[in-house]
Amino acid sequence: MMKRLKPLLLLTIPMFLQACAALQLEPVKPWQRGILAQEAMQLDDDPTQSFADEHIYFSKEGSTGGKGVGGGGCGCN
Amino acid sequence: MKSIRNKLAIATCTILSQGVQQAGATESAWTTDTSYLYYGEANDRVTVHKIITRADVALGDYDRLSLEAVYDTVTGATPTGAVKSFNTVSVTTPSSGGNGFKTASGSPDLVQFDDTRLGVNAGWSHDYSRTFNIQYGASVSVERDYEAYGGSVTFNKETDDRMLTFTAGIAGSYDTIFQSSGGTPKPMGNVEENNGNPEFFGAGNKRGYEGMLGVSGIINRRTVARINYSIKTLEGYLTDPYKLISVTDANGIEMERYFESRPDSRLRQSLYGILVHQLDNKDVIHLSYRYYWDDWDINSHTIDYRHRRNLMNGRFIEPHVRLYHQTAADFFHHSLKYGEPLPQYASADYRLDEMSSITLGAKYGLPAWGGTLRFRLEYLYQSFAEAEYDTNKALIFQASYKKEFD
Repeated sequence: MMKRLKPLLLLTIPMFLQACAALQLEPVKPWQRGILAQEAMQLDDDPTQSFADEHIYFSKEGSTGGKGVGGGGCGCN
Repeated sequence: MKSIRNKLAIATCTILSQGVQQAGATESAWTTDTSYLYYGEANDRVTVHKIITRADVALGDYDRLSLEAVYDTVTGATPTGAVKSFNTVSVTTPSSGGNGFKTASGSPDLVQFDDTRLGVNAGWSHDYSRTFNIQYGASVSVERDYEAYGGSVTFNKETDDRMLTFTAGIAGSYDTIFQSSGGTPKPMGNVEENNGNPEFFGAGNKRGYEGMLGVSGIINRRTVARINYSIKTLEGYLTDPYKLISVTDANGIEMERYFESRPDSRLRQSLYGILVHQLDNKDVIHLSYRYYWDDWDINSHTIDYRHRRNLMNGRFIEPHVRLYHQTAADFFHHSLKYGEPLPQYASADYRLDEMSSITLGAKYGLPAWGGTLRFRLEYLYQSFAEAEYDTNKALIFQASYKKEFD
């Protein structure tokens, strides 16, 4: 499986390059935050999807958490 | 012209009145989001139908209330951890859920079950000043064999220029675990002892204490980012009362079968980072990474990438890829060797095995009836290093409708 994942991991390199290009710090005045105000630019732009995903992966993987605190548990199989 | 100036003034005030997390998103008096999710595993394993409904309402200028309810129905078959065997040990299988676990004849390694879950999360957010906010949360989740109660407090403090937000959160939880028959089996108890009537104890309790420190910030006009450190300690009954582990001979033939046993404490920690950036072509990317480690020796890496492309007329498409890898828990075994002493802790639960997984899919959104309709279709593939069932394949479909009211 890991061998098959290797090409996909390589595919993530352009993503990180894009991310690095995004990390040019500059002060942003309140009136310059129009793009940041868009729904798609929110750190969690679809909480309902995030909530569902967290339940799925909590149930199917050995690790969980990281985004925040709280939330209900389950005895999922 | 005056109208445009007024709108710009209103928009600027709106932005000024909100923090980094919202980054100026227009807030409505009411927001509702209702969703249906289907999760179906291949080979007639677990099927989940989930309804989620969320409502968020502003109460004046400083308070927001949120309510989230989830209802699950879960049916299908799940691996117990026992090896696939067609021999020796007769089945005394634990029961679970509404109608219980029922093993198919000759396959104690895979059991049928069904259950329902109702969960409610409530939140209250209050702005104590222009740059200081506290969020209070409470959660309840009830199944036929599991109850969970939790509470949380999250503090958000922004810098005066609102470029950075510092976050600190604490949470506690109290869970009760039991088989639908009411009790929990003796850890490492032989399922065959007392002529198939193994020793059972009362319900198990689990306490969790959690803390988080984070900072989010505006990097530039088109980029925001966040980094979190989280720590959680769990104490009490952390064993899964339905999971089993086989003892096998040199040929892999099952000789005995035991209920699993896990340590009664666990310390989980993680570092999580996310970057949201709008590209030159106005596509928006969400890239996140989490490193997780705990004292059961599970370490994991998670990379999640979403790429949203806006289409005509308010529609969008968002491909998604998620890659995950974890190491095995130090007490995970495929099976135990016959003739050797039983360890204090042992589990064959595939979720504690070394695993790699990939999720691929896409979301499509469009305006509808004054709100936003979203459809998501994804494929999950998991591969396990040693577990008896070495793969898990699942289809995920979610349809959601969000609407805002003034």
